[in-house]
Amino acid sequence: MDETNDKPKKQNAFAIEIGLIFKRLGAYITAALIDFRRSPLTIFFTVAYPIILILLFGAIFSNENLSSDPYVLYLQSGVDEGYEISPTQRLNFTDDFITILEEMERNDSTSIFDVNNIPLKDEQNKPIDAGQYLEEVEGYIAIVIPENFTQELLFNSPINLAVIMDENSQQANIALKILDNVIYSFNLGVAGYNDTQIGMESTNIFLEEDIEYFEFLIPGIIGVAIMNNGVIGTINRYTYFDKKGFFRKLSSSPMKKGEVVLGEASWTFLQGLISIIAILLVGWLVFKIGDRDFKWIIDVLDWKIIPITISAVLNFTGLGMIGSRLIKNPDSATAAGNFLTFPMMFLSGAFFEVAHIPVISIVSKMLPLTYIVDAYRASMITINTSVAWFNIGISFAFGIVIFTIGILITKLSER
Amino acid sequence: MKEEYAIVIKNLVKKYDDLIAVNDISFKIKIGEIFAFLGPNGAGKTTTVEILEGIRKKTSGQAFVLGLNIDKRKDLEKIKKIIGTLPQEFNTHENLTVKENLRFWSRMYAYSLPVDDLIALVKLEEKTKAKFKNLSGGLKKRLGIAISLVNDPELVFLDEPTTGLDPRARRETWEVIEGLKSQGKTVFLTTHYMEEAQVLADTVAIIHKGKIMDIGSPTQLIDRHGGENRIVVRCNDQETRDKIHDLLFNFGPLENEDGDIVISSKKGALSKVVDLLDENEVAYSDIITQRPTLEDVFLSLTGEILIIDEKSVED
Amino acid sequence: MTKENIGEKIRISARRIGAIFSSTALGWIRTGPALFFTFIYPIVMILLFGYIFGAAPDDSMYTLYYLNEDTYQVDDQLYSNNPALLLLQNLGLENETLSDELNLRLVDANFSTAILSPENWTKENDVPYLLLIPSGWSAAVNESKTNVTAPKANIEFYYDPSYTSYFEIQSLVDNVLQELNLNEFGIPTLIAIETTTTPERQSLDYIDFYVPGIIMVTISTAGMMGLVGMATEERQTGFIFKLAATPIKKWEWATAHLFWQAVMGLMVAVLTVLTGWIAFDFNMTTIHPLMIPILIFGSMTFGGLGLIIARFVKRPEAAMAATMSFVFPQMFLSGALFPPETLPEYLQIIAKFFPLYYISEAMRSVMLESTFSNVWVPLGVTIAMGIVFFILGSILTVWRKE
Ligand SMILES: Nc1ncnc2c1ncn2[C@@H]1O[C@H](COP(=O)(O)OP(=O)(O)OP(=O)(O)O)[C@@H](O)[C@H]1O
Ligand SMILES: [Mg+2]
Repeated sequence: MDETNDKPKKQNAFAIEIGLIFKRLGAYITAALIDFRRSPLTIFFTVAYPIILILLFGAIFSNENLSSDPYVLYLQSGVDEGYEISPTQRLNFTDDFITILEEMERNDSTSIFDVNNIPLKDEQNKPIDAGQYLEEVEGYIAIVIPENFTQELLFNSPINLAVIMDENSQQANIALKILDNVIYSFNLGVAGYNDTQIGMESTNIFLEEDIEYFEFLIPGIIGVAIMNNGVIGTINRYTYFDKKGFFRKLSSSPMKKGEVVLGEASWTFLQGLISIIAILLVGWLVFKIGDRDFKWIIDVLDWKIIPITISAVLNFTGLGMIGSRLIKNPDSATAAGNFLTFPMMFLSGAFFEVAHIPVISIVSKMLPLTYIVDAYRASMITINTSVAWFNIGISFAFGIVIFTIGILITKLSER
Repeated sequence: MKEEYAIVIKNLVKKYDDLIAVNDISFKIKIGEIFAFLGPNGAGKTTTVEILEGIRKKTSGQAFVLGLNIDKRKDLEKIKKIIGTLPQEFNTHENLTVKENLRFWSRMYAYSLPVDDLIALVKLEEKTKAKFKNLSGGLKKRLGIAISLVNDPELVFLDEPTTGLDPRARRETWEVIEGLKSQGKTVFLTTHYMEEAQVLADTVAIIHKGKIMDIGSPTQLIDRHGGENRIVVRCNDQETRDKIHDLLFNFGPLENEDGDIVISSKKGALSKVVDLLDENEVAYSDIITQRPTLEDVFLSLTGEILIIDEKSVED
Repeated sequence: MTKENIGEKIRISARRIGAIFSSTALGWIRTGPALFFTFIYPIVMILLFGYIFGAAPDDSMYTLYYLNEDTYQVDDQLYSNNPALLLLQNLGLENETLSDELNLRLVDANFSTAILSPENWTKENDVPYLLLIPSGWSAAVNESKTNVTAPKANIEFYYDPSYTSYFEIQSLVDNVLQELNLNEFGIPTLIAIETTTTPERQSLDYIDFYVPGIIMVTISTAGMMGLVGMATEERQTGFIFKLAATPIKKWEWATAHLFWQAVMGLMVAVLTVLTGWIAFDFNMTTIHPLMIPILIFGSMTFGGLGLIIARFVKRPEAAMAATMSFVFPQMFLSGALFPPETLPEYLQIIAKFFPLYYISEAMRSVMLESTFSNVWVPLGVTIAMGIVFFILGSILTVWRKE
């Protein structure tokens, strides 16, 4: 009898307690939101910074831009007498070769090479060295065709074509690959074959649509934005509150540490959602509207974004809490936060793939951002459910550990 | 010709957008005197001081510091060599010690006093090796005063030098300020403490909402605005209080915030009151006469009581 | 004015500059985090960018999954000429030297396409690329040797396009296939390519090229943030106004801080070079005395820019945000981390608006002898910018409250 009487009472008290917790949380988040509108740095990290990142990396790495310029190829050829097979027909491989290079085109009928001639002798009649010439004109690749190339080829093969290139130039490396192919077909042609017997068929495993670089970038930038907000924002706020005595004041109110931390985390989560919206909108406006791909912004939305964002918040507010215990001084908070997040941004494959880079590939496996970005990517872009869940799992594992450490070492008041 | 005035202000005005912080003030400060600028929060004290120090733009009017025109660049450069300043919110290198900070500031001037003397002057000997950020609020103020004196200035601006100091430190600071006067220096002091102005100042200007209400020596001001001396009868319980009220009805008794009975003291009133109370065997605890203070001057000039809220001042 | 008078003036100015400089230095030494960041930041930067951009194609190691479903047998006997095996061997299977040379590590995917499609296997295992040799491939290759009309013998390559490196792997496999083609069909190689590096750059590695850029990136980032932070904070605490009431001149104050930036810049440079040397074998002989003026004027440029930002954006945190929006694009666009030629044309134009472009160009030209003839223009621009920004920064700094 007693028990049944007691129960509703207990439940009631419990409900009231829960209500109070929500009330306090609500007050906390509202305060944070008001603070947010007045804080340019937070707005910057939530909205402006990710937008700068998309535009910057989108512009730098988007392939379209890269491929539309012809490669500047410098060419030096000796005098080629050719070879007369019949009085009416004269072979001249030098001319053929140059013609092929000059006429090569991409699908959009822009030329691949911009062929520039290196003279054989200068005004004083001294021979010109192709390598030095290349330096002087600041070119990145040059090819030298030997004297009497036709006859040499016919009677003295194999012969080498010298290519001089700046190894550090990406363009030179691509141009070299193309030259390799040209020479391969030249070889085939001279030998009388006109096609390869062995070939390769490439298949994009996501046949439905080709993924552009910027799409690869979007999940990376979302991850980075949440990281920056989480880590830098948390360090900033925690150290500031600590120094100004706000935390001590809170600890003398009924608000418990768990609630403060929860309030902070919910706030970071909200900010994360703001960032995601801003990033998707900008990406869509800049890269998709032009192609009349209006549906894109709907396609990328996936409910798994929510759990991933939660795991990201756990990780990064946790890291922020740890950071704020180490730093303590709000003046250096932004610098310290940046110091933590800046390397992670590059080490986690957010902007470009790092799996093949030595050392970095190992470091990246130890950073939660790697998994978070992979999870976003698999959920939003490549639509790969098993990979998504695998990464969400790891992100949560990381997140729970880091967040717990963060809570344990956070102190609202000394003692 | 020797300047007679340390500071001459003519029709000085400072506006922040719509707000007129300093509203057409004019006054002169003689060389060698301690001048107190007395006014409540937001009266325009700091604004005026900063204009004189050359670190804030004025809207209109003229000001001369030690005969030099603050509008002239060359003059301003000279002014900066011969004044000392204590900002209201004084900050210096956080991670440098007291001594290092003093040395830092003394290097800003071509001529400076020995650092150790200054430390002794503000009694910071025990803290010479403490970092500024670890000093208490009051000690920071004292270091600020020492720093304002590094160049042995002819004129010192002290913006609230004793706010936040404990009573003893306050008295010691007063001594330092009086010492400055005895060296022939002019001191421009801002304060909300009536007592401070009364004890230290040769001339007091009362500023309220950007206007100078009156200016003169403390005695002059009290004579002009303080009203008469008063008799205060102290008592402990309500019954006595009511009794006294009735007995002294003809004197127009008032009650102050401590529950004491106050009447204005005309000639011979005191003996009459004492007689009257004694005759009726009233058990009052004390009876004293009070001269009006600057507080009364202030009250009558502004119609407001100058409430000193230590907390808000410290913030 | 007498000589003594001028001498005295210089002495007093020097004393003030010295006081600001030494107090900043002392303050810096006493703040743990600042000290830590100054030392650790350049090291992290060089390691980070050194590995990412500097580790260059040579050191990369790509993992290529393969599935060989081809079992080429004639009458229970493995055919001696087995193109499938040959292909894998040419890709470095069981041949470490070749594997290192190609930067390719082959891993057997070990599944059956009868059960799982290659696309799905690749997806589920989050594998970047898979090479599949279908069953009967070797037979088809051998068939086409005798039969001209035989269909092309294709292998299959599956890739996840989100791994941008798929393109490199694809062309690598392509090359090996071409070679195989020439060998299998007995086509003579009449022409070959012999590559050499541009003459004067031969002895230089990628890292030699990037150390100068990274030094300048670090200095510009840390320098601007530092100065903006300092200037806005001094204003907020009122320190700067207390200073303004003393005889010190703005240019003295600015000079002291820029000196300090230059000293920090030198420290950063030394640390970066040392780390580059230890971690990546940076070629120390590229160090040149002209580096010092470049560092000094470079620091002056960024210091001056910092003062200008601090002038217009008053709140410390807003100023920090403004600085970051400038510093970050500059870092990537100015050619300090990768050559500007690889950028699209319009970005190359934007790049030229960033001071870092000229400064890292000057730095690089000085350090790399081959391009020394190109030093003078960027060096001139660097010096001019240093002076102009320094003067602008100190003129624009306001020491008076509104
Ligand atoms: N930078 C500013 N912008 C706008 N208004 C200002 C500014 N500085 C001061 N004020 C306003 O000008 C008025 C005078 O301020 P001032 O600081 O001179 O007062 P004060 O007499 O020194 O007060 P306190 O005793 O509190 O120091 C106040 O109303 C203040 O709010
Ligand atoms: Mg004031």
